Amino acid sequence: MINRLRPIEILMVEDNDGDVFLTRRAFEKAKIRNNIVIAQDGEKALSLLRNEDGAEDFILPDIILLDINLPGKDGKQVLAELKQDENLKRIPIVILTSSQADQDIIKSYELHANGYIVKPVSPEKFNEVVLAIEEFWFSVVVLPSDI
Amino acid sequence: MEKNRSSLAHYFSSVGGKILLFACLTAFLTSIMIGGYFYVKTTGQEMRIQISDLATERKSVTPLLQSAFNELNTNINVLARTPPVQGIIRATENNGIDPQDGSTTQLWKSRLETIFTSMIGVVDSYVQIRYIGMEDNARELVRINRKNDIITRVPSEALQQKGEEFYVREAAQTPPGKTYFSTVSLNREHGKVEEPFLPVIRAAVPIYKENGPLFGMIVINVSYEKILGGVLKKLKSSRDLYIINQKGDFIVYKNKESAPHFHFGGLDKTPPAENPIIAAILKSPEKQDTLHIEDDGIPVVINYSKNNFIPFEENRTLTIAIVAPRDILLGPVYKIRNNFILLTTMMVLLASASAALFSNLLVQPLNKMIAEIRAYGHGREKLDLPVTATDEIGELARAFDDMKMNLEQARLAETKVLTRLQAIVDNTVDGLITINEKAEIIDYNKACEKIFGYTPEEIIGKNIKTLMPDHYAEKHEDYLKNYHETGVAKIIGKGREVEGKRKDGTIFPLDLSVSEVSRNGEKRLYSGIVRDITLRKQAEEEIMRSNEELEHFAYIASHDLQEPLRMVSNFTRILDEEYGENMDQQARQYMNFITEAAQRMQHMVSDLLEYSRIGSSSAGFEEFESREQIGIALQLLKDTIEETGATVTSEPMPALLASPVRFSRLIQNLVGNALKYSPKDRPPVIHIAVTEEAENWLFSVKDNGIGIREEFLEQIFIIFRRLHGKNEYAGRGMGLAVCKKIVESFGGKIWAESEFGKGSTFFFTIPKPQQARKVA
Repeated sequence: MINRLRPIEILMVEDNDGDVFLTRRAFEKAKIRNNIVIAQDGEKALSLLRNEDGAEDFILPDIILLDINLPGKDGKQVLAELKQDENLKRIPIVILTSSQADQDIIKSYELHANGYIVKPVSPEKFNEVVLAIEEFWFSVVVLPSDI
Repeated sequence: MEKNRSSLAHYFSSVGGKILLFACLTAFLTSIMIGGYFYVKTTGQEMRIQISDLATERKSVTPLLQSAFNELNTNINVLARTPPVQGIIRATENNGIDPQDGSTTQLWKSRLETIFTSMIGVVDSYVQIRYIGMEDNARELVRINRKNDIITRVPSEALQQKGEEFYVREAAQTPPGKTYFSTVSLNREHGKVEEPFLPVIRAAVPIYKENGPLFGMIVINVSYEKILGGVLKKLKSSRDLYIINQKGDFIVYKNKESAPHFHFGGLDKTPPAENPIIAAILKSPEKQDTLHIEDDGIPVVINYSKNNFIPFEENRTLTIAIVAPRDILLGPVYKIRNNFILLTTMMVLLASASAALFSNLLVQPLNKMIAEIRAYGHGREKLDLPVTATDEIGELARAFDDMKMNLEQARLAETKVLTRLQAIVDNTVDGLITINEKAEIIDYNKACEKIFGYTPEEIIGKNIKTLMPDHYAEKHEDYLKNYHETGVAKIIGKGREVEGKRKDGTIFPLDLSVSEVSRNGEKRLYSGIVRDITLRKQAEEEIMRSNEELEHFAYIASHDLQEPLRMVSNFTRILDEEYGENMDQQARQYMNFITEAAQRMQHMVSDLLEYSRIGSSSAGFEEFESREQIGIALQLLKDTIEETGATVTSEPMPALLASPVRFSRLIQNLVGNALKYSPKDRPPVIHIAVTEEAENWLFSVKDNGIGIREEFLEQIFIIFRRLHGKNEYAGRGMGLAVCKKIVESFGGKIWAESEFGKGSTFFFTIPKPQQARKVA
């Protein structure tokens, strides 16, 4: 396990406040140091990731949690754009959505999503999912941001 | 010429010709037989009569000839006894003076000359009369000549010595009292043959002196032609007469010629055999006979007899022959024969005429019938046959008439069928087009008018390409050509969806099935059934679209409906966690209602999602052993089976081509249902069976459960349809709907049979692999 000196930088692309709440709650419950930035839709997410505001302290997130059902550009379009962007394509993207549709799952992986998680229907499950994310992405695998 | 012969041959092969030929032959043969019989018979008879006539004529010659010889004999003997004969002897012996009367030798000679002259004057056949004395080498003493009817006394200085002549020597040997006749020879003067030739015979009487020795002889030279000619002239015969001596000399008197001619046989250089008549007679050993020979190519009949005319000389004969051409003898018979030939010809002609008339009578109605029947055969409606005739023609006519009636009835029936067929073709919704080998349209029914907009008049004879969009038309020609050459059919015998072009140029989808129609070696025809499938295509598109919408709806349901539900259930839980302790009993119960409803809703949504996922595609089909999938399904139900104490049995199962996961799910649902709806009082008994049908496998799942009332048998397959309360039997009415969708996705059917209270049997079919492949 890599000893982290800084909190995990997470970009969550989600328009549902309930889900944002549940996710934040789960991270807190898991006592994971994190820094979650929320983007309400795909446009905002892309804008943030490209630092279009020109913030000086801007750093790229360690992981992106991407919902599929988004206002405007949907999650799959955003995914496709991110994976075609030379600067952004190495950031792991985990789809976190309530959709269980086959075509969504297949399409997402075709577009090089790094994981697909169906949003749990209970808070306990939510906690388990968040723990699993933290464990897998930040303890098990080696990410480009670690280098 | 050749044509004439063949048309003649054709005529004689016809009935009329045969009758004519037969009649002619009969007439000809009958005439020939009768005529021939009478001809042969008459010929023989006539020939006998004619020969007897010839013999009669010939016999009449004999006495004439005999009397001529007798006369010569008498005359020469008379001359020998005249006084000067002895007078000359006496005077010669008495130095020139007759001692009896004193007459001189010269006087006696003169007297004898006078007697000779008178004699020669009477008989014109005598050419010389002489008195030859034996002395001085048989010098002539008196001689009278006749030459060219001039009688002359030969003067003493012109008298010749005849001692060398044969007749003098022969006559000298003749005994007294007998007359010598020489054979025919040419007259000789001074030892040489005199010219012109004069055939003569000589009669001689020797003269003896009174005291006995031979003194001389009286000799008469007779013209042979004249002596015989005289005889022959007396005959009134129309035949050729021949008188022939032993040497073959002959004289012939021909009817046509005025005078008889003498021909030498033995004396002449001409051999007698050169004349076939003389040769035949000389050859014949018979004394008298009738000979039939050919003379110079002409058949002749000879009647002859060999006669002895010379007194005292039996060996010397003359043959009298009478000769007539056979044709002349049989002239009357030939006339009869010719008449017969004429008669025969006439009879044949008559027979021909009557036969022609008869055959015409016979054949004319036949020919008329033939013409009628031919005209009828070529489409004329009326058929006028002599059905009232009482003979065989009438029979034939009636037979034909019957046949005609039957044919007409059959034709009428056929026409009805054809009319009906045509009506069917005309009124059928499908277009029917027939094209020939050159792809020209030859048939086009009414439905086609509606489909393509062309009238038959506009389109018949045009190339089928007219009805095709350009990109098809280009290919069609190559395709038809290729088919003719290789026999490889791309569309013939199959149905296919293609595109057609209407008169107004619009392109539309059509279903085309083409078959090749070739009848009895006729040229190839292709018949196409055309169906406008514009509406069907539209409907199909409609269905596809609504299917898509349905799937989209299912997607939305699974995703968008899930979202708020998830929120409800998440936050009721958080509410419970964080504020549960502060809730009273009432609030806790409300919370429970909310949580339960949200859960049920979640289940329904996920059921709906599953239902929509089954889809209808054959993607994911593979061949598998159904037994294995049943095993998997039963494994998943293991706990329930154990709990209920159920017995589940199955028969040997076939291999299938379908989705194994779905099949397993199907079994799981059906067996699960059977387990679920089992009676409380007995353990479930479930049997899975399979039966092979022609194209399908028929599966059945039989239970001993509670059964289903008949009125619900069809409703049970409707999604979310439940027959029982949630408290009685758990379930959301999803299982059988999923089963139905799975079976239908395999191309099969599902249904249930049940006896309420005793059990149910669920049947479903799955196409056999080869069938399933066709569907796929």
